[in-house]
Amino acid sequence: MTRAKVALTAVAVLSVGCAVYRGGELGVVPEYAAAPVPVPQPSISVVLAVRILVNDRVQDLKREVFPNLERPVVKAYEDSGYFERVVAGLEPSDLRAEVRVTEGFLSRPSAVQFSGLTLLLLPHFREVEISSRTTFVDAAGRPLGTIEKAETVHYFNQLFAIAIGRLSGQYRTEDKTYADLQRATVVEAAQRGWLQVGDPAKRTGPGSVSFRSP
Amino acid sequence: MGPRLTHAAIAALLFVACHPVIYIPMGSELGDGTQARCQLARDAWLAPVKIEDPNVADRDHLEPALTLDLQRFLREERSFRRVSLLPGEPAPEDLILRFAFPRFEQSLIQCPGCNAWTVISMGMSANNMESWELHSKLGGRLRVERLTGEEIATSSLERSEDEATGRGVWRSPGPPSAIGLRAGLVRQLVYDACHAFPIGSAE
Repeated sequence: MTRAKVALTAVAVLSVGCAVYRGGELGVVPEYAAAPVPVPQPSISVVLAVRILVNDRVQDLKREVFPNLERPVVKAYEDSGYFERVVAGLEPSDLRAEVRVTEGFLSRPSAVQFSGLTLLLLPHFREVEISSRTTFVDAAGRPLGTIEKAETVHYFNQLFAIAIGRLSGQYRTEDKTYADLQRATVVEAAQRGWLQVGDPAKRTGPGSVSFRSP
Repeated sequence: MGPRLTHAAIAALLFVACHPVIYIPMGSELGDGTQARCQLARDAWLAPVKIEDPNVADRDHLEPALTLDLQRFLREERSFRRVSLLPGEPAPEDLILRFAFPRFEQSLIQCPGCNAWTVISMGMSANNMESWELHSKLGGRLRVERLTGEEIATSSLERSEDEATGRGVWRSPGPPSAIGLRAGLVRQLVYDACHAFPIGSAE
């Protein structure tokens, strides 16, 4: 085998990658400053459960991954500046955010197999739909309301997609989307007045109503 | 191994690495709830779940996640009129549910050559996962209390399961998991406690 063939093979193999782009369902995520809370609230506890779907089938989540999924959620509440104290878990607090995240991985087995047989010369697609459903609860355990946010991340797998995938840093798209969902949730809760502890007049909706992003 | 096969193997390795992770089942997922066989027309408050198994290392993460999953599951089962989480302020007539898991063991065993074969065959072989086997042992306890702490009903149960899958990655419903075992255990604990309940229980 000539050196040129080896080099060509190496380039081809190392060029396998995914181009990643967001579906845009979430829209522009406002900054925390867009919905300032007049006085930082005393405390909020954040509790998280994660559901994994692979082609619509429920799977178990590897526990080691959990802290990586919990950290951005807690950070979204900390970064907001809306609270004096943010704690993870079911702790006594003035407010509680019950966050249920679903990550749905979707790929078409036949397309993947066909693409694989051509060693990815023919591309295939896969998607990850990340959704977050957060119920805000007051200190007495009464639900204030629920906010749902979702966005799909699309992956385009192809032999030479490395240049627009791995090299451009798009592989962090999924993490950024996840963090954006949480920020959008916190900002919307602030806009709805649900983070004003002890001031029900500032709340804009009955507790049982759910609001879903378009 | 010839150069072509080597190239194919390397490409397959990268190809597989670009796909959804096959999760090792060690979580809190309970699956979807169904209509419970025994329902109580009472509001219930779920206390934070306790994992008492000393072999479970990351309880700080697992217990709250399991509590939240359990709340969703019980709501879907409609075992109670309403299920809220503690801390909170239950009414005097409300029920307090305390779940504890003295045993929460799971181990996944895979044949040594299985990973290599999965990579070489790009996940398309029917035999890829047949050597994956999950051993699960679960022990659970449910104590139903009044707000005063007085016990109303209790139930405890232990179950184990060995599960293996023998289908290819893409055709398989996924790696083996103890989701069904956990859901079955919780369902039975609630059913047993419901039947031990002095008043208001109904099939």
